[in-house]
Amino acid sequence: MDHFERELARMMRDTQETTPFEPRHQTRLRSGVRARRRVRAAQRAVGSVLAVAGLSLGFFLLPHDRVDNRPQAPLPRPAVTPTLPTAGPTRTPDTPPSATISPTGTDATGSSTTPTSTPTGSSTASDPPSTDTAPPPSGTATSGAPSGHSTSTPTTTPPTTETSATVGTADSG
Amino acid sequence: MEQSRAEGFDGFVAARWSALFHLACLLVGGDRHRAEDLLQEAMVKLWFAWPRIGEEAPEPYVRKILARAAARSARRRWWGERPVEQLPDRAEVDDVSAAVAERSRLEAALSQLPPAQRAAVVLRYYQDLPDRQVAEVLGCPVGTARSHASRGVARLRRILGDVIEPVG
Repeated sequence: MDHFERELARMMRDTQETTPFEPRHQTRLRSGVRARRRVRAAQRAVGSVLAVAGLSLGFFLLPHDRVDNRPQAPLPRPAVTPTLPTAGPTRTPDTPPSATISPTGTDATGSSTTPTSTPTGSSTASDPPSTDTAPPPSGTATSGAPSGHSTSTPTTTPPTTETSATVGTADSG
Repeated sequence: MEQSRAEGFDGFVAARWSALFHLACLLVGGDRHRAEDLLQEAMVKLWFAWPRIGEEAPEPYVRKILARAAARSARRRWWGERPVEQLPDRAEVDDVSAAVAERSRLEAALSQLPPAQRAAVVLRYYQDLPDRQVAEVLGCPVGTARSHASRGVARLRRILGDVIEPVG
């Protein structure tokens, strides 16, 4: 710090004059505090209103965005098309309501024959074109059902009558 | 609670008003009305910050508010300040006291500095703050504060060269 800088610092300090804190200063200070308090309250109110408005707007727009992002269902196909007979049987085994209807047709078979009997139940419920292709599966269902019965019920009466008849005729003839 | 806050605040303001008013005068280049407005604004801000800093260091807080507001004053255009070739209101030594003449000369010289340079010079030489604290108060890098102070002093050296004669 050279001579000029020392003199500059001295001038700044020595030129200070006594300025008392007067009542008019205090009055003005109080009014300034009140004004600033009002401004702060107004700013807080405006901020709250803006925050609520922003949140409500966000909540209003948010569900629409989720619906748009959701994967859409397959488009409805025309009722009569040449490719539907092949597509019908592939879809019907996947539908669970047909499984509940099917046991009415085959009472004794129970759950073992449900996959094969479902096309008959679902074909009448879903769409007419699938009923045209349904007979082959339904035929297998009826043929499969007796095969299931043949292990349990036919062992009681039919074999005995056949053997007795043949034996009887052989003995007599 | 509010009563003790008001008492502490009023006591501080009454005790330090004169010194802070002189600081504000130097920071704005001698404009009394502008200095009073600046100090009032700083005191209002201090009132709301008093619960936080009232017990610690209220004066550095006020000093920072004053210095930053004065340094920003040119950007905010609070008042029109135009640099002139001749110093306005040149004091006559014959009919006023030497102290008043010196103060008027100093304030007129300070008013010719840009606000940032003036704030840096006042903080550096009146408040006797080191460069690092000057930069902290002004909210700028240390190099910038040092540059402001050195340029301001160089300009004051040209303005006040005939008042402060070099030694030797």
